[in-house]
Amino acid sequence: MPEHEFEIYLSVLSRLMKLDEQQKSAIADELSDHLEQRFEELVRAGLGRDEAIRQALDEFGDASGLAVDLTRVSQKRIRRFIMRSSLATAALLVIGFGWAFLFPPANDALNSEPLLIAQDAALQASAKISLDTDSSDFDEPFLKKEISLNFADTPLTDVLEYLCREQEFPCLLDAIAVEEAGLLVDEPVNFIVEKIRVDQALDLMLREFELAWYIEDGILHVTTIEVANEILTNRSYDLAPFRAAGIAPGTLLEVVMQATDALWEEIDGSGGRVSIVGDVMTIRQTYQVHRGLPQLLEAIANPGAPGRGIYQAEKVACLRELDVATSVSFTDTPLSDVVEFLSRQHEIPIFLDTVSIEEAGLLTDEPISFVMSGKSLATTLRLMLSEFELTTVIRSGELFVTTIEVANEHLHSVVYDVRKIQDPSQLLDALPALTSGLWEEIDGSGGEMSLTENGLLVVRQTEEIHREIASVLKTFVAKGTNQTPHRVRRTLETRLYRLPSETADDLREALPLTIAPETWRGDGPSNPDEDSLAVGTIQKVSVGQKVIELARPKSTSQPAKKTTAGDATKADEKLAPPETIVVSESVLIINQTAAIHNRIDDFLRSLGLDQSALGRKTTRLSGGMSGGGLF
Amino acid sequence: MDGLNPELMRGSLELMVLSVLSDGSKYGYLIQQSLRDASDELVELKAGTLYPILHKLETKKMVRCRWDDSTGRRRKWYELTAAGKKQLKVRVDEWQAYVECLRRVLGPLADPSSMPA
Repeated sequence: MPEHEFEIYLSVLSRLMKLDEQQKSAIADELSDHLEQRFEELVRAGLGRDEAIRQALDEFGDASGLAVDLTRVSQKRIRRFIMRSSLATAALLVIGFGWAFLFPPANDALNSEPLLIAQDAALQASAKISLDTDSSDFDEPFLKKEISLNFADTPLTDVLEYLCREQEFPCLLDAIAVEEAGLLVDEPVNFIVEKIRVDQALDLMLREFELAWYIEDGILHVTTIEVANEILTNRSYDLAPFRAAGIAPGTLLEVVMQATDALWEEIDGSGGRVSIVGDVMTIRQTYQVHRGLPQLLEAIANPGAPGRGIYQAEKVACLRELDVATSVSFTDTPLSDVVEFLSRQHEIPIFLDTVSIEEAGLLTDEPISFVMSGKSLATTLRLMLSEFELTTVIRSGELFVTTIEVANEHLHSVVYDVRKIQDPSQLLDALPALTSGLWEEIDGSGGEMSLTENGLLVVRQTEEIHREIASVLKTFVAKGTNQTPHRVRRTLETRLYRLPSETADDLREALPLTIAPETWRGDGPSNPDEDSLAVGTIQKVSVGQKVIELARPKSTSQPAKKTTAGDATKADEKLAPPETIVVSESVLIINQTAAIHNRIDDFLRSLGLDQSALGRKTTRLSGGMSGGGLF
Repeated sequence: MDGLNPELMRGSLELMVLSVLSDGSKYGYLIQQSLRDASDELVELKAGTLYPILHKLETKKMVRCRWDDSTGRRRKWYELTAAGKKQLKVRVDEWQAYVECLRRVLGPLADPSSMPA
């Protein structure tokens, strides 16, 4: 029997497969049966012994490739088994690395689709609770706990073991994915933080290795970002609060898809999905995307008090501190010391994005000489770091010092309350014009924004541009409703012309017919179409009489305002005594764009009405009769 | 033409394995041979490809297996589960729809008379 060669092959294969002994021996038995049968057949067909062995083995291909394939297939089975068993024994501390679980293979009693249960649970919960956030994998109290960590060259496996034992939470390192990504399960971790939440600690610690985490059925999984991005689950949300707030489902879809750092409905069929059935919106996405969604949706449905950003994709604890004034004086102080100093002074952690900084050819102990006092921490940092093309970003709620290049790639969403701004849709044109950022570039990069029906502007941009947006919006909101940021070409201004009433009457008819007739509104009901060119208005108000010879005090104190020109003229005629020359005067109130105003002025001058006759022609009205009140 | 384009075949391997199991349980080597016979020797599924597919189908509960020790060697037999039969039907329908679609798209290019044997 030619078993020896086959045995060698199978034992190599067994050693390479990351499965338990029972699985390994089952696979070895099965493949051995195949090899022997094939060998016998080849010998029957006339091949020599060695040739037959070689060919039989060739058909299996190289052992390592086959080991990977067979392990991957069976390893999923193990993972499922653990998830299921953990439901029964929730307190069980499971620590291990994929294949290290010596459990028998799944049997028929184990549901092959454990995810379905989670889906159903989420759906049912959402039917009862508006804005369902009730999925225990997302609300694990463990994630909200504050911890301090101090790892120096600690192997990744030990770090996770420590974390999980300390927190009594089961976790699982996807060793296969990690190793396929070229990392070691005992990759050395250097990570020192004080008093930060477990979820933030995980974000920060794993990012450096391009690893990600998620919780599924009460187990913390650590795997590569690539693998984590393929694990999609459903969460459902009640649409009723959004309908009540006047938000169309389509708007909500747009906001959700735009505001998240996620793949959606890619052409190859990957990426998340959103679907709306009745009043339930179900989102299929990765754990990390789901994590941030409830807060975003909450902010949109219930905006609460108007303010700056009412929602930040990243937590904002350190945003407050960034506004606090600080004083610094450094002379050749290493960057890392500078960061530590500021971190202690402001009692917030500040991290150095070491990887990006070093990739940019800088050192973390780059000497810094900088003196400044009384400016906010944000300004101080920005000015101090700009020399090195560094800046700050907020990630996972923590302040990072990184390169400007990296910062510009990192977009996050903020919901701005623009309810106080009249016609906020104009912001969609105005903000890209007034800020320095990239917006909706053709290659898909750059910021995006969308506006909800309840007056919220959801903007996805870099930290820097968000700062600019906040200051632009502050001006608009401060000006309130009276001075809406009109589109430039539509800005109307009001000019007053004091003229003899008869002249005023003539002009009131003549001007709209003579100068740019298409820009004047008709007499009908006011035209709400804001895109219409017909925006100009002209009104005449009698303001009194000019007595040329014998002055009569009574007549000059005539009521200043009449609603129609016709009435005013008749009244003037009645009051005018025959023996004096009294000219009744009116004011023409013309609302037009600056360009048309200038043409009107030219026209009036050409009629011989010089500057002095035109009196207060450039006076602007304010208050009730301003532009806002008239159109 | 010797063999088929492996790129084209890749998407249908599971379907082929399910289909040869539809007329009764088989073990790995037998599945391989049935496929070869059924395809007039055009489909030569490598053992290294076949077993991961079988194990995947097993994980997905499309097939169930039992061990038979009566031959002197331990032999693993596979048969379709109810889910596997259902899946097979779905995949066959999908495949037919796909072929139909492709034929329409290709139009006269796919005239059977001009197809290579």
